[in-house]
Amino acid sequence: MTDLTDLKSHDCWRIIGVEGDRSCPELSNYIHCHNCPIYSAAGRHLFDREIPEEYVSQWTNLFAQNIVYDAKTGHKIVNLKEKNSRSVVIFRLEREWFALAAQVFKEVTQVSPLHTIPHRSNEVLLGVVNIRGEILLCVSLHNLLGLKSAETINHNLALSKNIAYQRMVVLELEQNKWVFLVDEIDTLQRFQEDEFKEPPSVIFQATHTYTQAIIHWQNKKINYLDFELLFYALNQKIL
Amino acid sequence: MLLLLFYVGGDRYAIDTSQVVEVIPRVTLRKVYHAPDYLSGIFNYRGVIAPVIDLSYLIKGTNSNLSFSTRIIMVSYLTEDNTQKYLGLMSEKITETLKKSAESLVNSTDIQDTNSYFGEIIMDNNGMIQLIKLEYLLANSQAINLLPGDLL
Repeated sequence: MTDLTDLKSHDCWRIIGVEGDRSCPELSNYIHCHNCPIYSAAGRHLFDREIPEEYVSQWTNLFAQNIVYDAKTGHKIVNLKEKNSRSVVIFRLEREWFALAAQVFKEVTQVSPLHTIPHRSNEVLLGVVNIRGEILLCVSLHNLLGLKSAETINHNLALSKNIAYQRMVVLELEQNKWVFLVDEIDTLQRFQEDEFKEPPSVIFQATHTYTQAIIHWQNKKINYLDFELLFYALNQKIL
Repeated sequence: MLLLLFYVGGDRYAIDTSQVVEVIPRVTLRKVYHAPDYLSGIFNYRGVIAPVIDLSYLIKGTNSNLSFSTRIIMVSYLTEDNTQKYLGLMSEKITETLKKSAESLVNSTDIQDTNSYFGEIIMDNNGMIQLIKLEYLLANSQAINLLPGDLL
């Protein structure tokens, strides 16, 4: 390796290299200074700086966390605490917050124009939309879940908010794809199994409930929807 | 074989990457007493206690410097009862890897004892690189009861 000490004093790429007068004889070989070993050696020289104390302690703490890697594949194995957890996507319909298992989410995209299907469209099936060239059925989860429109409550506020955050969501389960509109997508969040609370028995016994559990999150109560039931219901109602 | 290069003083050494799990930055190590000086200490490596050997100290007798390029090479090995253990090897200027065929290695038995951890030598345009034999290092560490369990 080229001696690093003399690199400190001269930065040849600025003098005879691509940033200088390009008179370096090696330039015809390497074409650009980025490919030259002297240049990369100078870059690596940056790592010889003194290491700050908090950098060391930060990494010490990071490695002290119990994350285990699989010996063969090198993939991260989630630690025991995380083993019984589910990741969900949190979204808003009107004023209510809902969550669905992240595994059924295929895509979240901008709102595309909706085309109604004559004689077939109803309050649940709104029509078809074009998502990346694929024609998919668009349903109204608002109507399926029987949510009242918030427009009457606070028309102006709801309107301005909805326009800013509305998204189309593509769900997929066993090649069964559905698109629906949400008023806001929040985050992808991982919850422990014990954070999924049993819903009150009144809801639970109702025949048309899709709520599988209730999650408390950021002072909100989130309905965790049963995606299998949801897909089943959509198939029954529409196809 | 893919080799990981590091420096001891001005000389380059290499280690075969087949047993390397990852290369991590320097961490705060807990000192272990009544142990050889080249054992820098132990630390919590993802829930298991891993000893760290300072290769600079082992080879040259001085501690590795405190710079960003001084890192810890984490190697894994299996003990006799099939549990996985980790050993950290701290050394300076770990910034490069090298691909070399096994034929390009030159035996160095004329100058060094075959039973030491110094292995073959590779020659390139910028000088010589000496291979460090990991299995000898592990066996050595084993011999002084540094590492728990028996080697496979």
